[in-house]
This record gives sequence, C-alpha cells and structure tokens, in this order.
Amino acid sequence: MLLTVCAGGCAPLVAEAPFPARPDTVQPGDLLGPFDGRVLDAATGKPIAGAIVWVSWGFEVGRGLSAPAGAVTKSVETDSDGRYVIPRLAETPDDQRRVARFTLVVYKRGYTAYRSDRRFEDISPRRDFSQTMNLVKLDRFPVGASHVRHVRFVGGSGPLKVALAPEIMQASLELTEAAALGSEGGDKGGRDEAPRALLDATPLLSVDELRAATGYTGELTVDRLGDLPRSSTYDSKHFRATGKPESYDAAVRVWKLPTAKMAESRYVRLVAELPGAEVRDELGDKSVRAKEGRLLGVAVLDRERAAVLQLSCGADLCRDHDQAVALLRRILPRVDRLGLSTTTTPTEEEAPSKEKEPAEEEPSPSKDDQQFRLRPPELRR
Amino acid sequence: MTRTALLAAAVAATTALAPTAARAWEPQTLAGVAERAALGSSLHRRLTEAFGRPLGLYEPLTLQVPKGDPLVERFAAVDPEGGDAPERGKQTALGWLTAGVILEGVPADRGRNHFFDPSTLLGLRVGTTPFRARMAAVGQGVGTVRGVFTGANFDGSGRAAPAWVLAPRSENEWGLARFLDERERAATAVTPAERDDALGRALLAAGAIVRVLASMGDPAHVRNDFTVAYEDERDPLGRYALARWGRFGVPEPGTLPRPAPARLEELFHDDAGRGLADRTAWRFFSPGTLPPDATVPAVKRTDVDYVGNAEVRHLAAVTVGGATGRDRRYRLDARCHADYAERLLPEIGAYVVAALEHLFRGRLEATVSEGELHVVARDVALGAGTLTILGDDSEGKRTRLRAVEIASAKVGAELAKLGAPRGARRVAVVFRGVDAAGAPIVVTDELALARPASE
Repeated sequence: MLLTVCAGGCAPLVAEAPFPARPDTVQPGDLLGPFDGRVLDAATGKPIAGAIVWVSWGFEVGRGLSAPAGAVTKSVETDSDGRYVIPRLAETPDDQRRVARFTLVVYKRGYTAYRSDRRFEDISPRRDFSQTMNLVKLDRFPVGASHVRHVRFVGGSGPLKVALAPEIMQASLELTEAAALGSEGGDKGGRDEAPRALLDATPLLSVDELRAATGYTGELTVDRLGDLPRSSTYDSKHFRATGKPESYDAAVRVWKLPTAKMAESRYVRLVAELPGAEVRDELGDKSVRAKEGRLLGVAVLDRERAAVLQLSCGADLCRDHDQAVALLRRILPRVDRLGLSTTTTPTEEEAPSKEKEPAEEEPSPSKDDQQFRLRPPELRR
Repeated sequence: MTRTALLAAAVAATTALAPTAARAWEPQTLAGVAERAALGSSLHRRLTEAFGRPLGLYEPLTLQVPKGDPLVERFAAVDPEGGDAPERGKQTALGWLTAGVILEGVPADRGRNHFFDPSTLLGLRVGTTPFRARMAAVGQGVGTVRGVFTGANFDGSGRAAPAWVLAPRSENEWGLARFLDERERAATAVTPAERDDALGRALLAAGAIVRVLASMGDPAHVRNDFTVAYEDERDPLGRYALARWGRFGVPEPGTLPRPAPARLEELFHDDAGRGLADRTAWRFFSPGTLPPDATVPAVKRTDVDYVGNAEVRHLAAVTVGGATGRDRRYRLDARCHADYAERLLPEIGAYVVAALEHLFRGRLEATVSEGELHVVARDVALGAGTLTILGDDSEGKRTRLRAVEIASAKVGAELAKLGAPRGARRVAVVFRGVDAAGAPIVVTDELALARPASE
C-alpha cells in the first residue's frame, strides 16, 4: 500500500531504485540522488568534456494502475575531467504523487548516447549504472548506423533535444531514403546495420573546371560543407581557396530525391532559407538567385531528375550572378551521373582521430563553413 | 473529528477495496509501439508530400495553447525521458503522435473507456458499488472529491473502446471526430501557425486513437478483467514488457493478420472475428479469466506444467497435485508473460500501423498545367463530400477560393479543373466527406507555385 493519510505532511513516496548505490556494492541506490560519475571515450580512455548529462525524475499518481504525473529534469555538462554531479532532487512530489523512476542520459555529438536504463547496442537492460562513481564509456557513433534509432534511444528534452537537433535532421533524411527504397521506416532495431550508400557529388564539378569557368588560378582544396550530413539523397562540395577569404570560395549542394514532389518540397524549403531569394526561373523548372554580403547563390529545381542544386560562389570568384547561373546550367545535367557510394573519405567518416573531437561522422562546421553557407538550415519551416 | 478528516479517513478506508483506472500496457511501451508503427508506416511520406512538411515525421509543429487550457496541465504530466513531452507547445510531428498516446491516459480515468469485451460488445463493468469506486479514485489521486458526488470519477464502468473512439467531441475530445476536424483545419486554417497547431492536434488525436486500439491487445482489456489483472496483480504482463524492452526496445510491428479494413472500428472488432480485440480475447487468458481450478482424475505429479498450443507454447502454467494429488490450478507466470508479449506486441504494432494508414489514407493530386489547376483522386475511391480549394498569398495567409460538391469519384477521377488561382503562391486542396465505403475521410494536398500564377 503506497498511500497513507498524513496530517502533518508525508515523506515523498519513492520507488526502489533499480541500480546500486556504488559500483562495488549491491546495496540499492536512492532514486532521489545525488548522482555522480565520469564520462570517458571508450576507445582512448580519455575523459570527455562538455558531454550533456540529462536526468529526469518521473512521477506517477494512482495505486498500482497509475498515470504519469509530471517530471523534474536537470541537465549539466561534464567538466574537463569528464566528471558530472547531479544534486539530490529538491522538489519532491506533493501528496499522492510518487517518484516512479529516474533516467540519466549522456550525450555527446559523434558518440553513441548512454542511458542508465538500457543499452543502445542490443536493447538489453543496463545493469552497470550506479548512483555514485558511475563510469560511462562512450563509443563513437558507428558510420552508417541509424539516426532514427539513435534519436529514439536518446529521447529527453531541453538542452538534450537542442543538441540532438542535427541528428533529428539526419533521421528525417534517413526516413525519406527508406521510403524511396520501399523499406518504410529507417529503424529496424538491429545492431548490425549495413552502412548506407551515400550520394557522391564528385562528378558535378571539378577544381579544373571551376578554375576554367572563373579564371581563378589560386589553389583550391575540396571538402564537404559541414552543416548538413551527407546521405544517400544529399551531398556537397566545398571548394576552398587556400589563403584567401571566403569570398573566393565556391560550393555546390545537391539533393537527389526519390520523387519530383519530394524535390519540390526540398526546393521550397531551400528557397525559404535563402536570404534575399529572387525568383528567376531561368534554369530547370524553377530557380532563384540569392545574395548575402559577398556571397552569390543560385538554386534550381529539376523535377524530371527529382533534384535540387544550389551553387554558392564568392563575389571574388564569380564575377556576378550570370556567371554562377551559367556554371549551374552546365553542371545540372550531370545529376544523371551521380551515383551512390559506400566508401567513405578520410575527411568525413574515417576512424576517429585521437586528437580531434569526435566529428568524423558528421563534421562540425568550421568557422569558415558557418560563414560560407548562405544561411544555416534550421529545424523549422 | 472534522468533516475533512472524516472524508480523508473514508477515502483511505475505501482505497484498498475498490478499483482504480486501468492503463493496459505501460504508457512507455505503448508510446514505443506507436513510434515504431509510425516509423514503419507511410506517415513520413504522406506528411512530406500531402502536407508539404519537408521533415515529415520530424517536422517541428507548435501548438497555440493559451494559459489555463487543460492541455497545459496534461502536457506537464508527461515524463520527457522518452522524448514525448512538448516544450513550450513545440514538438515534432512524431512527438505529437506519441504524446497523444501518453495523454490518452491522462487523467487516468480516461482508461475506463479502454475496455471492450467482443463476446458481449460491452465496455468495462466491475462488480463494485460506483460510490466506493469513486471514493477510491480520490484516495489514489486520480479523481476529485467533487467527482465523487458528480459521478465524474471512475466508478468501475466505462464505454466500450470502439464507441469511445467514435464518440462525438462533446464526449471524447480526442477521438476520430477531433482527428477529422483538425486534419481538415490543418489544410484550411488561415495562417501557417494555425495550420501547424491543427496538424499537431490531429496527431495528438491519432495518438489517442491508437492508444485505445492498442489496449485491445491486452487480454485483460478484452476479457473484462479489471479486478484480478489490475487490482490484485497490478498488471504483471505490462510490467514484464516494460522491464524487458522498455520503450526503446519494443518489437517492431508484425504483419497485419487480416485485410486492411474499410472502417476504423473494424480494427477493434468485426463479425468475422478479425479485430484486435477478437483475436486477443480468443487466443489469450488474463489473470482473472483462467480456467477455474479443477479436480482431475489420475494426476499425481506436483510440479508445474504448461498448457499451450502451436502459437503460444506457454498459454497457462498449471500446477497439479495438492492434498489429493488431483488438484489442478492455472496461473500465468513469467514464461507465459514472455510468450504473450512476444506474440501480442508485434500484432498490436501491425494494427496500429493499419490504423495510421487508415487515418491518413487517400491522396489528392493537385497539378497545374497550361494555366489550369487539376485535382485528381488517388489511392482511395471517394464518396460524397466537399472539395475545397484554397490559395496562399506571399505571407502564407490562406483563403478559400472555391468549393465543389462531389457525389463520388473513382481512383484516378478528376475532381476539379479550374483556372490556376491568380496571385496564389501555394494551392491547398481538401476533400472532406466519406470514402466509397462510407467511412469518414479527409484528404489533402498542397502544391507550391514558385511565383504568382497571374504573372
């Protein structure tokens, strides 16, 4: 019996913790906390700073058969030594509500998240979480693993959801790809998912051709834009002028989608994100020109190819919009040549470097990238 | 003793004696089932194509919820650990769906309407006095003192689950009627914010509907077994599934063991016994509806054995022996729960997928060619209804341009052909009526026009 009548106030009703107080004891922990632990890179053993540690105390009401009755959440970040401390729950529930569960999630971009109640790999219940002195070892997020599945696993709210936003975008792309392949749903729950084939934008434009078209003679390095993840429907090329400001750079984005309608939808969204977009419809089925500072942009929809292309060109590389339009017109038919590749390039999906932050699966945009894209895509319409 | 103290004592005394509201599988399990069903359905594609939502199931939608709205309190009840809790009225499309699943159990006494016995076609009916049950609800925090006297508290009875889903909005504000209204409004509302709000609410209603349907995959809910399954044993099957899979690991949806039905209620029950309630009730026991203990001849063993069949190996545990060596007692143990959950959860998932496909069925295809807008019915033949054509200005403000009464339309039939709307940046078309089978339906499509059609 969980309920009693209290004249002068009762201690909060708290379920028994399903985890021990410490790793070296079988004594049950306290669901109310406090909690502490350390977050390490599973491969290197080094501490991970800046990981989000998000916790939730879930309340229920009713006896035996009950209903959700709110929650208290808290979020902290690990310090430079990878340590976190979550203070004891201060706001204990009133009268008939009881603390039914406690959940801790550790999230760091580029790693597989950690939950106190379940493992990501095999969905089995986690048995090694402890209230204090908890040790969290984060694995790198496997290349080609399902973001749909990972987003489901992480859950959460507040700062955790904010940090997860790029993965939510990837999850959406994954579902779109799955729909295109007729395998509705990107989460089959398996742990040994084969790496997905990724769109390869390389045939669209080469350094030599960009030089020839623009007359630029300086050195150009080729990379990918870091703001959107490469997928089987999206890829990009960033031609970065060595030793020059971004106004000498160029970039191509391509979305090759399953249907014309999806392409149209993507195009509408892209146009909405482009600053100062001006409808011209001079290329493909629809096109716009855009400009922000010393960056020129052109975007085109090609329904027949179910493709959307965007070319961004610095004003010191492309003399004007007409030149950018001419370049985009030239490369548009090459969308037919684009193929999928399961190979990964060292710059984006290689095994993790021990020295770098874990951004290989989805590189964080550099400062240059952030400036160079004409406006970061946001998680809103 | 004061009047309040007397009431408190009465509440405490009755708490242990009378039932409370039930919730079938744990909310986290049901949210996980609905999530996997949505991911396994065509909903993402439909949201992308017919609703013009590029991120599909991950499209962020904001609800306009004023202060004091009951939804505010209900949202606050949701534990965000599974990602279902709206934040400042914002959630993804998928999040609204799973929030709807959880909110169908908030407040708890909504669960009284999640029962349906296909052998009697009745909802929950518990053999206790209504007054005692209502008093117990107060003690358990799932009812109010006022509700004891007004009858609003759970009293051991409820509407049959299919009737609850089909009830008018005045009785169930999150049933099929609400879904259809909001789905229509998601295409016809004037501003983008209002349309976001409507789509979010449509998904909340869809989540509530599939929660009720999923309850039909709990043997206790389809065998009118409230007292033993929930009161005495506190839902051992639900607790087993939660402990084993949590929300994240619920099995993926299986194959629907029947043709897709013409009507939503047929997913619950039909005369051929193909509804989820029918299949669950006839294939599984609940703790309170096991065969009665019996004395059988010539049995001398005293160990536990199982009765089962080709589909469910551990249908019930049976202990034989006792004082005479001939007693036979049935119960459901962990092996039974494992078999039940492994069979039932994929089947529930399949029915939930079918429900989502039914709710979002049909397609209109709006195209502009040679200066004319064409609207064609796709996927589903339509019955009588109204086709409304709307246009957006440059700020997304939507106005009604024309309405056409439709008597019926086969798949591929053109519903309307008219001059492309002048000055519109986007066109929305909405059909509301019934499909060829007579089931209520709302179908929409949106078409972006790159520049005003008049130019």
